[in-house]
Amino acid sequence: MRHALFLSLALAACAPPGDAREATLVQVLVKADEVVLRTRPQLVRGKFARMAASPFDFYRGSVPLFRADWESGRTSHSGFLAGAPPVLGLGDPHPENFGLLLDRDGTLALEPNDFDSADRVPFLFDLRRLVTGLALGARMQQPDARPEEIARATAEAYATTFLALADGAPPDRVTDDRGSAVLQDLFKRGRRDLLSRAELSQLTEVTDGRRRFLRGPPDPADPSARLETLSAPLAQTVPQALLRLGPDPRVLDVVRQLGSGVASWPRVRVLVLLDGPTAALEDDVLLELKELAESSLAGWYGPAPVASDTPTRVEAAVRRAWAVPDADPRWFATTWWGLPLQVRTKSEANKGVNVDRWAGARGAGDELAKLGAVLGAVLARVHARSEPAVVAAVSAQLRRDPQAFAREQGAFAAEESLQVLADTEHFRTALERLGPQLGLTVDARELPAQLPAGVFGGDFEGDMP
Amino acid sequence: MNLLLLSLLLAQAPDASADAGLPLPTFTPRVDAIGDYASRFPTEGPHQNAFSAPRVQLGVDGQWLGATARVLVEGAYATSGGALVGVSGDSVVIRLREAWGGYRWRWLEGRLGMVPTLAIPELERGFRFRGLAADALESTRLLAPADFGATLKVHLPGDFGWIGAAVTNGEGYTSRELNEGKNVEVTALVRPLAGVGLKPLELLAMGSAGSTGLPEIATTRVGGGMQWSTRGLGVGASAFYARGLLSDPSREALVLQAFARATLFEHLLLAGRVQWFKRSLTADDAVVDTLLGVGGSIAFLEAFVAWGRTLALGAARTALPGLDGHELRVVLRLRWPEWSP
Repeated sequence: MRHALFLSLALAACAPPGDAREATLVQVLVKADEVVLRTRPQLVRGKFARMAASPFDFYRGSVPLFRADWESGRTSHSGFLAGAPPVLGLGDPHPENFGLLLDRDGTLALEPNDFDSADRVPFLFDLRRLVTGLALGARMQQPDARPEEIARATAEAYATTFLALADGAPPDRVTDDRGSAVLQDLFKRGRRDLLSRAELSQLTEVTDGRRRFLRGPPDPADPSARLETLSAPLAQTVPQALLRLGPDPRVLDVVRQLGSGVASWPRVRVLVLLDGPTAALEDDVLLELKELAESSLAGWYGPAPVASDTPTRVEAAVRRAWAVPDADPRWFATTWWGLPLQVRTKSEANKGVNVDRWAGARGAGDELAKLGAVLGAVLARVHARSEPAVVAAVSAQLRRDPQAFAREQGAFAAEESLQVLADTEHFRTALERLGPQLGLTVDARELPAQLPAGVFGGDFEGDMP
Repeated sequence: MNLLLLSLLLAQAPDASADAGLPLPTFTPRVDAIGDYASRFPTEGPHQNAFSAPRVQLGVDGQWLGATARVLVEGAYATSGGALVGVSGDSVVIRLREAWGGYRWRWLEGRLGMVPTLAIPELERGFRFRGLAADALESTRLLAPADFGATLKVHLPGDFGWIGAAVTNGEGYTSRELNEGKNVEVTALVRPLAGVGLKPLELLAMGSAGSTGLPEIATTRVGGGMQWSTRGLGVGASAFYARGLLSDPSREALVLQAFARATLFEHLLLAGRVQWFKRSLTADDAVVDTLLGVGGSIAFLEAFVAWGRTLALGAARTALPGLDGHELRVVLRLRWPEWSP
């Protein structure tokens, strides 16, 4: 027995104990990405590097940590959650997961634009993900930011809108800036790029009278974002994935896109250039095909998942979330080579909210509170599409004391945004200490070969783990 | 079926090599398949009902003189979200549950490979009805029922039990080893009254130390229990302390569980169990699981109707959405060889 104890102590002491929070953080993130770390290590290294670039990038890539903190009880405490059934939510509605979408009739509207984690969630999980993101962005961009007030305004708008919708008010569609300088900037740039078709000039070129994608980094200032030729066997099957757009989509070119997004950085992304309705080169259309994965929040409400498979889950969430079902008429979910896939229009008009643009006067004073109020109302509209019994139960919680509810979320966001700043430092320290894969050793024999290697790609740095 | 017939033939074949002094090896198939229909009524959330096969295991035991071996495979849903090229939707993967070789020499027994850990199989044997619910140590993920490693048992004389030690990777049989540290588990199962004919009374004590994940999160588990296990009656209780869980090296927790089961009129089965998982010793945060089942058994088939009630208390109520609720289940289990106390 004594020898066993000595052996135990000796074996358990092989690695230095790190900071407890750092250990938690690394444990959760490695577990969440273990499968892709083993099969696409270069891409996950890119994701981790991107997450270390700024606190907001870290926040975007750390939904599993938010979930783990929720399950541990650290972030789930509230006086307004008991008795509230889960809503059909977004899972990760941070501010940059909202953006403009160009409707079939040419209207730009602000909508949720990321459904990777859409699932059945506690309504407060979604709202806290939003208010923490707003508070974090404010702390990063505005030295005099009052994150608590921004989060409170957001929660107030959420509660007010949710209760109005529960009482029968018609859902609202955000097609103007609503007095927010951030949204004014967003709509202005969106309309500008809609007219100029900026995506065509940024991502494609015309040679010999035919449009094709650029190869390499479209923006020399960001060499990590690249367009690469997709192998012919894969490229030839892309039209099959697009049949819902019409019986014979005329594909002009296909490229693999690398270095985009944060959480979805390691996922397969393909850009498709479609011939437009006329022979003119200016009406060609770009599509983005993005690999989907199981929701980061799967399993909370077992035994049956919210949908039978990932494309069904995401597509149902999309239709539910938008004010009009075809806010992007080319958006749908499907499968390609067995991979769940999301198809959407790739347009510079479809601009997302960008925290980096909150600096200066645009994000000063009450401007971020105005933005938060709009985003909170959009989120409430999404949640209010849940089952009537769920809406009634959430309403009952919100009606108890809307002001106290808003104050609770304000205090939460103020504190949690500081935690995210601290976590970012923990993460950077861990990357430095454990290496670009957070210490996970990849066995080269397990790396995909042949076709899967062609699908996953990503060896764009030319090095092996 | 062929495997079953072959096994029976081999097990019952006359010892043709007896004259030569060496017996033939024997092989025994193992089957454990559980089918389940669950109708769940969460306190907060929509009613759900689903069919599932929570466990399908198939394997074979081999024995020759003092040498033993087992290979046991199981089917499980792939739920990690790692999409497989060319495979749409969900997938069922076949994986190893146990794969070990061992040898018993007098009172000493060693095993090497993917081995069952020491404490959980004994607690499961006492409760008997794994189809109704896993042991609390397993369901709370404080310990794994099997892992890569080695075990060494010292059998006490006269059916008084055994004392054993296991050195394992520490990630369980479902996860890859992520760190250099190894887990050490020391367990003792003692039947203190075996000498006076009360062999079913068992005392179990267990302690383990190790780590999990990357970077290493130190894990400590200490506890024990007492059970009475016969074919007709089983009662027992156990308590375990844990440090290092939920990806937090500083978190401490307690697990208490008690069960009772009875077999009436030969084939009528009754079972009940309560588990209390205090998820944090510094916060009001606990989960209580209550289970009552009634069923019947014929040979290697068991069928149950069971009612379960999960109570999430304190912080757990909001931290574990969807957990609190009632559940009605119909469970069918096929098991070979039959359970023995």
